[in-house]
Order: sequence, then C-alpha cells, then structure tokens
Amino acid sequence: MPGKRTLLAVVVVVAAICLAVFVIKPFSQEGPEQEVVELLFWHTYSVHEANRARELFDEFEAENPKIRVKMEYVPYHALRTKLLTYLAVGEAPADLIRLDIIYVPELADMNVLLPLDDYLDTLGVGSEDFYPGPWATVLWENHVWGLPLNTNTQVLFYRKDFFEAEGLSPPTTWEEYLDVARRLTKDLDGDGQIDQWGGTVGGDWSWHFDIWLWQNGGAELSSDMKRAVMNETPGVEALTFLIDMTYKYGAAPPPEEWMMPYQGFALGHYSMMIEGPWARDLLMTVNSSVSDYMGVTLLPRGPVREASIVGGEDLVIPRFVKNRDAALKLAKYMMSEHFQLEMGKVGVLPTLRAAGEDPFFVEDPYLSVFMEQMATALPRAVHPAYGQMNDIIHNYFVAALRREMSPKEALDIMVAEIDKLLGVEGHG
Amino acid sequence: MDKLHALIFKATPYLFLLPALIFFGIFVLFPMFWSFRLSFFDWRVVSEQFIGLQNYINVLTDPIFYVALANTLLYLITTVGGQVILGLFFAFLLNQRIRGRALFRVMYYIPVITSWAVVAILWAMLLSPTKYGILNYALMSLGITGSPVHWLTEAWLARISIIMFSIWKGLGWTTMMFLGTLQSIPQKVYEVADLDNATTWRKFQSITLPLMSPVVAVVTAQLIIGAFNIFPQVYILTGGGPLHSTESLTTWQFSNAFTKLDFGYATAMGFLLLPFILIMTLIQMRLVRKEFEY
Repeated sequence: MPGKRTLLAVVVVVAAICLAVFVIKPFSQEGPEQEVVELLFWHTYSVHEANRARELFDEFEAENPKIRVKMEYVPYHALRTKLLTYLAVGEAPADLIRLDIIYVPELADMNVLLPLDDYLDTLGVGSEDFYPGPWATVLWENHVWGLPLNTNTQVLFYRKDFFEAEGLSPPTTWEEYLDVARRLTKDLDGDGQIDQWGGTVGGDWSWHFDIWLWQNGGAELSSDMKRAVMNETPGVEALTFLIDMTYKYGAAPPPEEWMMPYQGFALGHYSMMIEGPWARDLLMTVNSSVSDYMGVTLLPRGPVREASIVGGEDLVIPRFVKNRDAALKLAKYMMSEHFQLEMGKVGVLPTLRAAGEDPFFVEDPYLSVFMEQMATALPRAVHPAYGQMNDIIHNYFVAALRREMSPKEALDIMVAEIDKLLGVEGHG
Repeated sequence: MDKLHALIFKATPYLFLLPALIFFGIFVLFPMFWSFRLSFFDWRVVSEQFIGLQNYINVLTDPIFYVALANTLLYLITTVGGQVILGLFFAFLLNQRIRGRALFRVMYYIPVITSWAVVAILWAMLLSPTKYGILNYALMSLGITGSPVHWLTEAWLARISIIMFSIWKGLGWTTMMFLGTLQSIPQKVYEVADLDNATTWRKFQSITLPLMSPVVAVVTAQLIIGAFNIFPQVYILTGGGPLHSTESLTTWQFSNAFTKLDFGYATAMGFLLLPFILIMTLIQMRLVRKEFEY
C-alpha cells in the first residue's frame, strides 16, 4: 500500500504549508479596529523613565481617544542597525523614534527622515523655544530633521571635603584648575604611589577632548564643515594641557591608572571629575552619602570662552511614516512644557527653555547647575560622518594620552584621516 | 491512477524538501547573489550607484585589509595549533585514572557551552589594562610586575590576549573530541601490543596516534574554517584596536558594513576571500573522505 502512505505524506506536507501561509499570516495582521490609530514609538529610555513616559502617554491617549501609543524599547547599540534595515526597504519601523543626537545628520543626509520645517507651526515650537545647543543637533543643510527631545551636559564635580580641608574653592579658569589639581594630588600613605588625584581626563572619547578644544577657541571642523581643523593651535594647546597635567605636573592619572570617573570620585581617588547629570545616581551606588562630599559647579572657563558639551536625544519621524498627522500630534505633546517638565523630574533634562526655567530645575541645587551650563553647551560636529569621526578622534586621542605620539602628531593624523573621510563621503 | 501514484511517489521527497529549500533559497541563496551584485555598487542603504570593480580596488589598496588578513592568519595558526596540541594533551590526562576525573571533564567543557559575548566581557574585565584590572592587580600584588601590563591596548599584547582567550574558549571541545576517540580505541589492540612487550611510547606511536589521526584531521579542518570567522573575541575584547592593529577579516568587514555603511566594500571583501575558503573546504572534504579502519 505505498500509494496511501504517499498520499498521506503529501497531505501532511501540503497541510503544513497551508497552515504556515493561511493560518499564521492573519494572526500577525490582527490589529486594533480601523478607527483608532496606533502609533509606535521606539525609545531607549531606562525602565524608570519609560514608566513615567507611559503614564504621560496615557494622559495623551485620554485626551486623544483616537490615538494609541505603543512604546517599544530598542537597545541603544541595536537601534541604528535595526532602523537602517527597515529604511533599506523603504519602510518606517516606527512612527516616532528617540534617536541619539549624533545620528540625526546621518539619517537626514540619507533622506529618510521627515523634514519638519513646514510643520513647526503645527507643532507650536520654533528655534527660539529651545536651548541653542540641542536645537543645533537637528539642523542639517538648512532643514529641520527632528525635535530636541531631551538633553544633558557636563559640569565640574568636586570633592567638597577635600577642597574644604585645603581651604580651596572650585577652579574657574584653566590655571586655577591645574593649580588646584596639583595641590590635591597626594600620596597619602607615603608608599610612593599617588592615592588621591587632583584632576582627571576622565576618559578617551571625543567629548573628553572637545570641551577643552572649544574652550580654547578651537573646533572639530571648519565652519563650512568641509575639513577638520582640530590640529590648529587651539587644539594642540588644549591637548597639550591635558597631557601636561597628566605627565608634566603629575596632577591627573595616566590611562593605566584610570578607573570609572564616578568610582574614583566616590572612593576618594579623584578630587574632581567632569560628568553628566546621571553621575549622582552612579555615585550613590558606590558611596551613598553623596551630599557629604559632592560639590557641583560650572566648568572652569577656558582662555577663550566657556563651553561644555551637548548630549541627549532628538525625536525624529521617518519619511515613510504611515500616520503622519497622529505622529505630529504626539510629537507636539512631547514638546509641551508639561511632558518635558515631567520627564525632567525623572532625570531626563528638558530641551525646552520654558521647562528648564521651571522652579523645579532653577531651585534644585544640583540640576540648576546643569541648566545653567546648558547656555554654553555646544554640539559635536553636526555631520553625517560624525559616527566615524568619533572613532578616529578616539583612536588618536588615546594614542596621545598614552604618549605613543605627541599631541601635534596625534592631531595631524586625526585631521588627515577625517579629511579623507569627508572627501570620500562626497562632502569634500 | 497508477501513473498518478507513481508521480506522487516521485514527487514526495521533493515535497518534503520543499520547506527547507524555500528557507535555503530565501535566507542563503538570495542573499548570496544579492551581495555579489552589491559588491559592484556604492550601496548606501537608501541609494545605490554602479561603480564596477571599484569596491574590489578599494579593498585591495586598503592597508587595514592586509593587517586584518595577516591577523586572521596569525589567529588561525595559533588558535588552531593551540587547541589541537593542548586538546591532545588534556585528552590524555583526562583519560588517566585520576581522582575527580569527571569534575575535570566538566570544568574543561564549561567554557565551550558559555556564551561568547558573556565570557568575552568577563575576559575584558580580567585583562583590563589599568592597574585595577583583575589580572594586573594580581600580577602587581604578587610583585611579578611593577606597573600595569597594557593587555588590550598594546598591539602585540592585545593579539596575544585574543589568542589566549580563543584557545581557552575552544579547548574543551577539542579535548572532548580527542577523549572520545581515545576511549573508542579497542583495548584489545593494546593487549596484543603488550604481548609483544611494546613500550608505552611505542604503543602511542604505532596505535594511538594513527587511530586518532582521522579525528585530529577533521577537528583541525573544522577549527580552520571556524578560525576564519573569528569575531566576538576581537569585537568585544579590543574592537579591532588599538588603531586597527588587532582587526580580523570579519571585524573589518562588519565595521565597514554596519558602522561605515559601506556595504559594497564589505561584500567585495567577502568575495575576495571566497576562493581562499573554498580551497580550505576542499582540503577538509578530502580529509574527511579518507577512510580509516581499526
């Protein structure tokens, strides 16, 4: 009876395929009723932040019964790849995306984001409503490609207890910074090893260098963004300052003695560090009596200007968005003072001046310093190739910090590689 | 009716193969042809432009490609050699009647079944090049070195770190393969040799080694193919740094595709390596086909 068995086999196989095609597909397409629009929001919030955002979206839904907001967490490092995969086939993976500021120009240059110039009236916001640093991150080739959603910047943290013991006050200039750093660098137990460092470079990523570069009047790129200029005098001086502080004056640890800045600070190995608003929570994890030792103040002013760095995220809408009007409505809500302020209360600093000027921030001794520093915070080069530039800066900044090359040599190679990149990218 | 039956009978195996073939077509064949096409384009996710052989020229004139190629060959020779030689060594040890033999076998095998990413991060902490790195702390506490060793930040030390990690991770597998083979050699062969008063070395040379050689060959060939794909150990431990000095072919391909979004370069690189891998595979197939009998 081979015939029957064969038939049975065929039936099973065909049935399996049918099952796959006809049964599974409708399941995956099962969605909400046509009336209600469901918006998908990709975010990188922490659990704590996401919970607050959810509550705020619930309020939004109550006011807009025809719109539902679905939040989807995408890990920071996966977001760009995931996003590009969708965009490659011309699909919008989500209606709104919370994206690291450094990726906005890259996606803008690919022309996959919805330009918002014409919708600013609908959204009820304009450049003047935001702090200038975060606003600069959404601009590329004279168009607006997103909305600054939240920001952060770095300020000077100092060990109050160490400063008080020496009768010192926080430094306000580079000279004072170096002087204080030298005075606070100590071998406490007399074993020939430094136990307490006055200063610290903090790390070897571009932003650890940028602040000093800008404060000395330098820039990463020329004003037309066509070539790198960090090897000009201000850059060489800034890098030399950091290297000299480390090796010539021995007032900051060399890279092989680095620990995470917040750990070093909380454990008393570092007297000062330059960090963002998240540092307080991190310090608590090491030494919970933060208020006893943590002082926060504006960064010392450089020879040429005051400057700090802008971090944070922008809200972008993909060009192929399906529910544009609803997405804009939600974006408008997220740009409201209410949303910005409420998210600010869980540690996500607002980009909106009106929210930043709220008593909640102004009267908070910790957050007010960050909001004040925002006024002089600058974005890293707003350029599509920034992601790669960042790697190049990192590579040679490390080499200089390890004294594998001189500051000038490191900056020259950095510039040569970035120039090559800018040429290759077609923006040369 | 009989004809229909015959037809169905003939078609059955293909129908059974069909689901797998569909998947194979969609997820293997199609991407292969598509990436071959890509290698002639300047393909930037949302735009593309035909540029002929430019991607291939870019790869062949890129100094980092040669660094990655040299590193991959270095990793291949050292990690495959290390895993085979140490694997044989530990297989013999674990084949002895020693106390806690089962425990040792488990211990050697644990690295194999743990996740690459997880243990790579642990090794990165272990080898952290500061004085707070676990290994550096131990070395300095014991007075073996006065200053921190730059494990992952100095080119050669970083390469050595990657090699050590790879061998540690794969050693359990080669050990188990060899141990299994050792145990499958019939005891009677040794008994006969004993009757002839053969020395231990003589037995190893004339019985153990020849009977193990097919497995050693297959294991080696497998490891070689695997070594071409060396990725997590480099990506997580050093990210290809310092200054691309530890880059492997796969990490360099990955960063070109997903960081620089230069998919054309990355695919061209893949196709340039195709003949190389093909030859390795042919050699492997030859080795596997060779038959051995006890």
